Amino acid sequence: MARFVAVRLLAAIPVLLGVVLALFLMIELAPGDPIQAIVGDIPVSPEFRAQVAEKYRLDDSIWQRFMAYVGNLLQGDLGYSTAGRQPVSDLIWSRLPPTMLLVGTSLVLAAVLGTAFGMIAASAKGRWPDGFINTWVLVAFATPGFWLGQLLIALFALRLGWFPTGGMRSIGSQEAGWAGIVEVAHHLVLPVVALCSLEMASVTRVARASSIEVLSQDQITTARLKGISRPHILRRHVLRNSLLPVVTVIGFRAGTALAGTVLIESVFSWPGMGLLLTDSIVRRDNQVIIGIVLMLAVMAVLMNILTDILYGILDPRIRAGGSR
Amino acid sequence: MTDELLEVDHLTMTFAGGAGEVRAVDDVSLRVRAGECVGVVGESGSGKSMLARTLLQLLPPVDVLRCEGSIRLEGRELLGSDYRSVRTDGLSMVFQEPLSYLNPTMRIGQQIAEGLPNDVANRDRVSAVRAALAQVELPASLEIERRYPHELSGGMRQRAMIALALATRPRVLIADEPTTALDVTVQAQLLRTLYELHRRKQMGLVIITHDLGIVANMCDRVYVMYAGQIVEEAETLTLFDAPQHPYTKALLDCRPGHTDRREVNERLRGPVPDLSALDGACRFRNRCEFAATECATEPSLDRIGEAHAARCGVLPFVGLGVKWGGSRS
Ligand SMILES: Nc1ncnc2c1ncn2[C@@H]1O[C@H](COP(=O)(O)OP(=O)(O)OP(=O)(O)O)[C@@H](O)[C@H]1O
Ligand SMILES: [Mg+2]
Repeated sequence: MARFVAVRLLAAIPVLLGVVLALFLMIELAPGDPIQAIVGDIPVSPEFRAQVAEKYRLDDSIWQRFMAYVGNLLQGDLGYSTAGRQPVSDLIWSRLPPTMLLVGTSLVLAAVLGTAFGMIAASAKGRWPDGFINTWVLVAFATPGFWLGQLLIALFALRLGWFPTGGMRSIGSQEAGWAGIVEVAHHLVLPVVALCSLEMASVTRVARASSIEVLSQDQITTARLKGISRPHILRRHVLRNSLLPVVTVIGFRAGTALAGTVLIESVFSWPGMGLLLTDSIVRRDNQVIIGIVLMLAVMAVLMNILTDILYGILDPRIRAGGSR
Repeated sequence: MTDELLEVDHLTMTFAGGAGEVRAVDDVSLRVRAGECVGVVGESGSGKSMLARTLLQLLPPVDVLRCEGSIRLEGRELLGSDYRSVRTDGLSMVFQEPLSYLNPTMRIGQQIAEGLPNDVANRDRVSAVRAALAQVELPASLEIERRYPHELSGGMRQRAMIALALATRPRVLIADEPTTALDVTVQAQLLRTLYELHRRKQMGLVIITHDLGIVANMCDRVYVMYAGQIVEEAETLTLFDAPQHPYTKALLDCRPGHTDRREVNERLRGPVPDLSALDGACRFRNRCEFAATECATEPSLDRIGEAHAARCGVLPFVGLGVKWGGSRS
């Protein structure tokens, strides 16, 4: 198992290098002037310009900068934020926990509820709970997360006042312990709903299809032969056997959730990496942009490895084949 | 007779097939006594599996329209009752393909344990599972209970399947072609295990097969099935000595090593009737060498001796060997 993980991690390195390179190229092509972005909207003298370019090595060729970046990266140095005036790694570390909280909660919720809804729909195939769930899946698929987020704010925060409009804590709040947890949870509800709606819909759809497939298999006949109850059959036999495609889609959906969180965090002013990313794009804080996207890519890769490990746990046949 | 465990009368199962209603099981009556081994033979598609699955109400995902007749187990009517309890005490079944009928993600031991009666206490369940495996000659030293289905050989898997089916302590066990997927030596061992088990437990055993050799070796009585109906029933010796129905005769003549095999294959040429488009004539008519004008109406299953019955409208002629020829298309 350890060897398997090591191999997968090594295989991820070229992927991550590719990500960095692509980012370098894209930022190079984007319009705008980084020096102007650093100083703000005031005229800049050529001397100052040269000074800044010198300091941040803005005049080097893209290859030189790329190689220097990778060199620093290997030493754990993600660069320096021109706008934040601190090391990029510090900035990202401080923004990582809120993003993990938001994305993690959304994915867990999408996985658990999506699987449950999918199984309910499958076992009621063709009857009203199935129709209801299918309709909801369609609507959720057609609803962009950021738009849903604004809708939620308008209804539940502004009109009804049940939830805060944004942020992770109330302004100036110093709550700690339980009160602090409750406060964060309260702020978490709307962004999680906005972020996990699409993910939950896709998990539901896959879980439904794969449960229907398993329910039609011969092994379910055997389960019925033993005279065990239908809920028991669903829990003990259908669930585990239908979970492989579900795990696949969750692994895949982790990537889209990480991408989705960028917009959702902006909508809800959630102080995570996504918000930092949009801010940094506006400020042309290139090192931060690259750092964050790299971080998101690392997280997506880790999710994929986790998915493969889960496969082995769920299906003994894969475990037998993979350990050799 | 009171020692009859399973009494099935005029059982008919109709489902909605592509081209209309299909009567996959039609007017089937059968008896299984305690400690008796009964064979059901017939060619592929004759409805043997459908009959077994109708008895257990474990039908494949077809649109079942009607289930009529009566299925009594130890005097209790099963049709229309709560079938879950029937399966937990009374009737059980072994399938042809053990691999697809076992849960690939669950250890064999857990799968057997699920079938144990609820009154087996938790601490006794491990030993109950071991005992279930031991009785199908899978000794504890093999630790089969800890294995997954894909880790077993075909023969072991089918033994595990039998152990699973027996965990519910059935009075009658139906084995639907239990050895078709196995090689000949494993097949013989497995059938012996099954036979000894049913003798020891005085359990009713229904063996579904198209292998007449198995029938000759194991069964006390035989039902011959054709196109969803029983066309002949008899004690095994009687059936092999003096088959009455033309289909049974042809089937027996088809056995390997039999002299006229090629001629018989020629005789059994022609399609099995389409069950959704029956014309009310004898179903074997188009393949029967004795077919006559009488065969335009469907014959009934008539008693022709002690424990011997056949479904044929022209039996006397068949007995005399009178062939009408010409009436075959
Ligand atoms: N799942 C199904 N859906 C629709 N029709 C089916 C299904 N299974 C069987 N049938 C039909 O029911 C009839 C009886 O089939 P059955 O499987 O009982 O035959 P069998 O005697 O068991 O044959 P075999 O020896 O091949 O197992 C056939 O006409 C078959 O086409
Ligand atoms: Mg069959």
